[in-house]
Amino acid sequence: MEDTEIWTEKYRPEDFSEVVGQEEIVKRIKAMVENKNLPHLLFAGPAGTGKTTIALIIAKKLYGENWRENMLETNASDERGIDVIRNKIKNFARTKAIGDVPFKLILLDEADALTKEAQQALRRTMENFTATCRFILDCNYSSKIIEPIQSRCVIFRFKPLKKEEIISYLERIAKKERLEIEKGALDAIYEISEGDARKAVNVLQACASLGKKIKEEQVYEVASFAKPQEIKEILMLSLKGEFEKAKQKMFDTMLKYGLSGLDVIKEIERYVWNLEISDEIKVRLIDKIGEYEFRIVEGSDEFLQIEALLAQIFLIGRMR
Amino acid sequence: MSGEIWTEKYAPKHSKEVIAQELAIRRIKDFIENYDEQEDKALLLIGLTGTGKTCTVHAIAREMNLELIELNASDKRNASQIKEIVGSASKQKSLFGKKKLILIDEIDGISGMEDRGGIGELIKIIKESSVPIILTANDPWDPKLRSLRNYVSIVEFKKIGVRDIVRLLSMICEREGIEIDRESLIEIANMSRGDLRSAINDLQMLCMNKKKIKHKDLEVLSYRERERNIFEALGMVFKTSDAKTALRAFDNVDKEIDELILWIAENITKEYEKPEEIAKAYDYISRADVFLGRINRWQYHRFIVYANALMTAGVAISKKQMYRKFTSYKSPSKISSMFRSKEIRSVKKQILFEIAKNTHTSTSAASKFYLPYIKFIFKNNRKIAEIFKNQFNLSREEIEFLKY
Repeated sequence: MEDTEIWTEKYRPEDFSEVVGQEEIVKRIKAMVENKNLPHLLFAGPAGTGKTTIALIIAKKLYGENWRENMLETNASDERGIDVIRNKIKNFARTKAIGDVPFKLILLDEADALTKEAQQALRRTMENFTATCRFILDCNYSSKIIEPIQSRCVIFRFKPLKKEEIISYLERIAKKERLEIEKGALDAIYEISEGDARKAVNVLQACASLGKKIKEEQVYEVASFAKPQEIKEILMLSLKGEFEKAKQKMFDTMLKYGLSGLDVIKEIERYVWNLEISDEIKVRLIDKIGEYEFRIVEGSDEFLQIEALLAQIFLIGRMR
Repeated sequence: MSGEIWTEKYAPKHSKEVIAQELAIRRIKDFIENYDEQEDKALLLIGLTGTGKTCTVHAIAREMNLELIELNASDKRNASQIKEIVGSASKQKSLFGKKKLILIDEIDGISGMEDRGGIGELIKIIKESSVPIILTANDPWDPKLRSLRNYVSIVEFKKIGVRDIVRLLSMICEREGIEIDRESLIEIANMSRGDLRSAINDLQMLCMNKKKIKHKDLEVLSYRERERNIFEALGMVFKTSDAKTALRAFDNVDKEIDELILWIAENITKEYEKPEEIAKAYDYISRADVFLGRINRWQYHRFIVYANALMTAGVAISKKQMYRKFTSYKSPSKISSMFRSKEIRSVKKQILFEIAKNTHTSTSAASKFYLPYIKFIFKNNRKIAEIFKNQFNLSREEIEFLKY
């Protein structure tokens, strides 16, 4: 993992001094780490603001080379239920930390993806292992974390990074990668990133795959790739009676951007309200779309279901 | 007459005696002789049953003095058993100093090949083998074989022409001292539809206790219940309004229902022209698909009855009246057959899993925050794509997905 070509990893700060933004948070956590005394932590804030990065630095500073053995990284969205998470924690907590720190670290990402019931179970687990483990919980909104957990944690709120912070980070990478970035391009990346450092770096890396000189247009090219407009066009094609074309384009678009059936359905659902059809038909269509979404969730073939949905829209177009 | 089975008695002893497959034979010999220089470490022989795939390999093994290690479907082997046998065979030298050749017959019939895991095992065996491997299969359309194709070269066995069949049959008759007229031989050959083995079997059956065959004797032969061509079956669905006729359309078509549904879906707009008909047909077919999904989900096989009814009868009755036109039906489009959504989902899941592992995120975060950019890079920069390929240990399918 050390020689990764994913820049968000390659340039992920390794030390508190390298972190951009979140100065207050960094200062306090640094002090805790120096005293080798850490409470449970709850990191709340939007994506790409440094939650995972700081958690990883804590581990690296506490345990040095052994950090991987002393930290359990898990996330609430990939594990099948709280029981799996609890078992993982139980197994991990069974052995003592290696080195002179008396506790191990457990990083639970996307903690707000847990239901309230699961969070109750998590709370009990936290209590059981407090003697040997410290928890760092990451979430987007602390309001989605039940109060008993909140009260057991020190809460840090991460804010979107400021423009100069994002730009200084990008420039650091540009220097190491020998990139030349236009001023306009830097501004554009910041605008698109909305203070999300991960997004900013990913956009930069995608731009750099086109060449070492980075221009504003390229930034927009990457941005539009990441947020395709084709779904709307496909809906319009189908409504206008070009079903065959719409169908082909749908296949193509899904594969080109790696969209799942659900990604597409969500996009269609959002767009239906802007179509030039009567409200009654809109509502009927929404009902249909819901049905198709249900079918895909239930395990039907996403391409076939979306094709069939397009056929329904095609029919509505003809009846207008 | 002797109790020997003619198909064995007259099986080619030498590859020169194999009928009508010169090209294929040359390719197989080259593969074995120059095995070290082959890009693909296995051959896949594709052709209808009775065209000589297996007996050709036998003949070649004999004339090249190879030790043939053979596995076939009727052995009821699954992928892991194959691995055991082939694995040890491909690593040891032969006892007698002979070179080895592995033949895995009818791979489309081996159990455990239904899922990606089974094929994955086979691919691994092929990659690791130090001995030439030859596989055979009947149906080139078989979706199970798709991922395998990246690792094998395909050799096609042609259907055998009537004239060639007649020539062989009359040779046999001569040797066996049978008297038969040419018309009868032609009819036997015709009935076999390019399957030499069945022609020989029919001939032997006719000659039971008889040395003189009259044309009238042929009446006992019936056409074998043979695979109904997929295109005929599509015609039965699209050109009828009778539910019962449509219902039986795919009874003798040798394809899985998951694949058949794609064939029908692909051709709805080739046949139907009115939007109401198209929408209705799609509605039925999408509901058939829902039942197919439920079979997996609930492990309840009887749902297949409803899936079949909706995709055949449902589609058939979706038209107002029959189109009196010639429709040329098509096979499912390249993309839809290349990437069945089930497959694509597992390909994507694997990629996301790798990304997530490398970036301290969940797979859903990887999908949202990384996948679009990585796809962009794959399309635009080969060098970096190559680095990612190694870092994430990507398979050919996964790369194809990222590049698309």
